[in-house]
Amino acid sequence: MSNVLVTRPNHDQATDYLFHWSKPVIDFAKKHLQTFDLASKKANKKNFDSYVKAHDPKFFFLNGHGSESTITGQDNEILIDASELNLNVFADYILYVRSCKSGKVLGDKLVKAGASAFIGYKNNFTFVRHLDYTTRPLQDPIAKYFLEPSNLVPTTLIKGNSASGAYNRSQQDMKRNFAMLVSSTSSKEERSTASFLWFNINAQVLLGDMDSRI
Amino acid sequence: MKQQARLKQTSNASEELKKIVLERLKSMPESLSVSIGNAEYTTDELVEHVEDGDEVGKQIMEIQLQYLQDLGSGKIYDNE
Repeated sequence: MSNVLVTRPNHDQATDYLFHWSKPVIDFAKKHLQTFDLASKKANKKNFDSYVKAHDPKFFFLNGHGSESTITGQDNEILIDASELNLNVFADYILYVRSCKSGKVLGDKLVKAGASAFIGYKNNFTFVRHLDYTTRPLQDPIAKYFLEPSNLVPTTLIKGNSASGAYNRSQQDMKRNFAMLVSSTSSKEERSTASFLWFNINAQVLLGDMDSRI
Repeated sequence: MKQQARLKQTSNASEELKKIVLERLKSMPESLSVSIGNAEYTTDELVEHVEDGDEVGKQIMEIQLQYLQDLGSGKIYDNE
């Protein structure tokens, strides 16, 4: 059975939303794969390196903040840095990184170091949320337009589909949501979020072998 | 002289775009909050950053301008 490693820090409002929205993916993954969940304070560099070495995950689903060259965990501790010399430890792995800009430099370096495929965002990963749902992120009717399509990347991969299949599924769902947001029947709140979802559609990238699978 | 006129035109166009973006942001319901990069912003904060023209404001401008440009070019409708 293949392994999946998930990181989901929750040290601020944005990461808290990603933390909660990752849970349905984890529940789904547990039915199909051996799933390791580094949540909250467990999402640190020491644990991350230890799990990579001990469990050899085939798929990484990483949530958090980041930059062009890094992905971070709890309290913004760097988990992967493009300047690391041993990026080849990710050779043959598939990574989905739900954070800002990692598709710009880090993704390319990981693929060049041998990663099978990388799906991420070449620009800021952006989402809009409704302030009434701060304590109930999974019920947020605005955030769902952003986070449901992004969850389709890992769930489609876990189902055994290719990296391009997962990317396309997510893109299609974002575009479907976008069409709903700009339709004449949408609310003012929904219409106001369309430009931000459009930005995500254009920021999401797939690098590496499009046919790779978990 | 021509160069100065061009620079003035560009500056005027940028100011006009900024005004359009600010109007769009001011019309956003206060019930929403936007996560961009490593931080989250209320609608009032989005407006303040664009008015100040700081780094966050530039990111917000980039998001809005991409949308407006793709709306103008018809790229957005290719997805429907």
